[in-house]
Amino acid sequence: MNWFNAIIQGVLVGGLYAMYATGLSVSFGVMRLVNLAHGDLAVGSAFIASTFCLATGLSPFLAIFVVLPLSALVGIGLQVAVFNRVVGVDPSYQIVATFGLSIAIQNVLLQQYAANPRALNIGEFGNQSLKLVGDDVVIGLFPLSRFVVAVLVLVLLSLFIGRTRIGRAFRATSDDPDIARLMGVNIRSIYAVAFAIAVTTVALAGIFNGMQTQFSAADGPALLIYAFESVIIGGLGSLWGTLCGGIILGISQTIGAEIDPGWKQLIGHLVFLIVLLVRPMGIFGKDELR
Amino acid sequence: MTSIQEFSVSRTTVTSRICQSVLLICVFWMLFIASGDNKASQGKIIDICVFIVLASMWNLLTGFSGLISIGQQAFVGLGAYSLIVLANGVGINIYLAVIPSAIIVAIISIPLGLVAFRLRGGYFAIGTWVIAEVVRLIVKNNQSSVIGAGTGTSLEVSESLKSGRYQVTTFIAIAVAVVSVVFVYLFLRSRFGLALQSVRDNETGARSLGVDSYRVRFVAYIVASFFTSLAAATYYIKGLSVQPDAAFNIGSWTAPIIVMVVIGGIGTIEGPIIGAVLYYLVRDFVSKHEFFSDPTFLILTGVVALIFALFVKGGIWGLLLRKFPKLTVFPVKRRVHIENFQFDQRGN
Repeated sequence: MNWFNAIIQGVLVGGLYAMYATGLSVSFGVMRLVNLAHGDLAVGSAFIASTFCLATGLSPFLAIFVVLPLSALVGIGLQVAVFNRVVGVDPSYQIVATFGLSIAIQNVLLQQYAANPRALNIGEFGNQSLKLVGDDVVIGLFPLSRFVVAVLVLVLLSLFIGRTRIGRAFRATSDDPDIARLMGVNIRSIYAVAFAIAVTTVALAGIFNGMQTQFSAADGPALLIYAFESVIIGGLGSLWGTLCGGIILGISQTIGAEIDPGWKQLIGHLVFLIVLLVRPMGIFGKDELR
Repeated sequence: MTSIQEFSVSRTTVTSRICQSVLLICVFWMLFIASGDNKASQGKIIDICVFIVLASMWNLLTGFSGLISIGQQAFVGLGAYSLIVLANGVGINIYLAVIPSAIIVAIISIPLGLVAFRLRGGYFAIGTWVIAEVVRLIVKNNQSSVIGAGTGTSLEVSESLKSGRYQVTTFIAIAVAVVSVVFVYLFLRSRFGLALQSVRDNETGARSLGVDSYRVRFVAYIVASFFTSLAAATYYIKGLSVQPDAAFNIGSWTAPIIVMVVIGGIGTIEGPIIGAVLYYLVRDFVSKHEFFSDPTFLILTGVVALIFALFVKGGIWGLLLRKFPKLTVFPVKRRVHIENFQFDQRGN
């Protein structure tokens, strides 16, 4: 057993989880929307990237530049067609609507691509690694760069929310949509931008996940749960908390897998439940959950 | 308004009496089929009754208490496994083990609820799902021979009970469905039910009038887990074999339950019953047609849930009520009669 290695791998996976979680955090933060189809959007993007690569023979890295604008459009479309109608109403309709969407997306994928798992082949890059501490710790070059990209996305996003005009409108809408509207903020376009960001980040995470492991149509719900756990462990409303939450979840899972392969998910869930019991507002959360 | 001299408060109406009588006839008709020996029809009745209970309980949580759960599969699975432990492990007669297994699950639901109630709204929903996953993984990793780990196990039926198992199970299923629906009805008409609905409608307002919102909701949560597992145990007396991935599956339990309630009408007692029957009949019909492969049916299910949640919020029962405002089977609202005027609780 190599605990140090498990922790390093856990941190690297945690970056991916944080990227999954970012969109959930943004859509909850800005419009109090819990989107149960979040994970399925990630899987869907990975399938589209895979189709693109098979059709054109190009590298999955190029597929990112095609899929991300597409997912931003999908995000805006979903916001206009579906989510604008459930923002601010009884949350039970939100849950039912997004749950219905999730079932529909999963089964469309299942019908289109069958139950066989797929992967995005990134060639040699996927096998290269750095060896540290006399070959005991192996850091894959791809997971490392994925982690760096995840941190970069979070930095850009927090600059966007903290420093720009639209970011200010985001925060105002989050605090009080009615007052924000009175001050001249176009709430619907803010929601559309927020949801486009949510879908784009989760699509990127889905593609990155597919570059390292196989994915199949039924994977969405598990990804949603990891994203959700990262958000809650880190604390609602804190992007850096989300990164920290993702890392804690990642480490818990790799350590769990080190003890017994069947315990990977279980230990992750248990750590989440313990955080919930001991510190329900999350590690970086400022106030009680609302 | 000047002083009111004569007024009376009523709940039951003529329509509700007529509708209840019709429903009672349906129950007798099902009892008649249960006493026969048509296994196919008996199996259908068991499934419909089980889903009526599951849908009513999800509706008690979401429609009447404002607790959105997508983790009902936890109580289905726990009900199934409690039955297995009591029947196969302890050796209790399978029929007599149904109620004790539901009691066990109700007790287990208390610590689970303490965790879930840390979250609110949509996050409560995902929290209930995580809890269901944890329970599934714990059962799956349990290597004892009674539980049977990931491959699952089968309910052992002693020789003396083998004949007439479908008949007895159908009777149990009908009894469970009737008791559940009547219980929800009486529960909502009680002081407690009024408190529950007041918390759903306006938590701050309800609390300011002295309602302990946490306690009322927690009781509703325990009641729902009790009846959900009661129905699950009944279902597995028919099905016999239990696997953790199937018993704790969100897609085969919670997804159809939600769709049923949304189609029928959230927040009414009648809605889940209509939804469960309708969903079952449609599924039964399409399963005979090749065009509707499993994914196609599930895509349609998801889209229908989405459409109802966006555009037909009251469900089918809501549409009927708009057409026939006096229609009611299980009147929960009070009506005040003052001379020639009539008000109902919402002041319409």
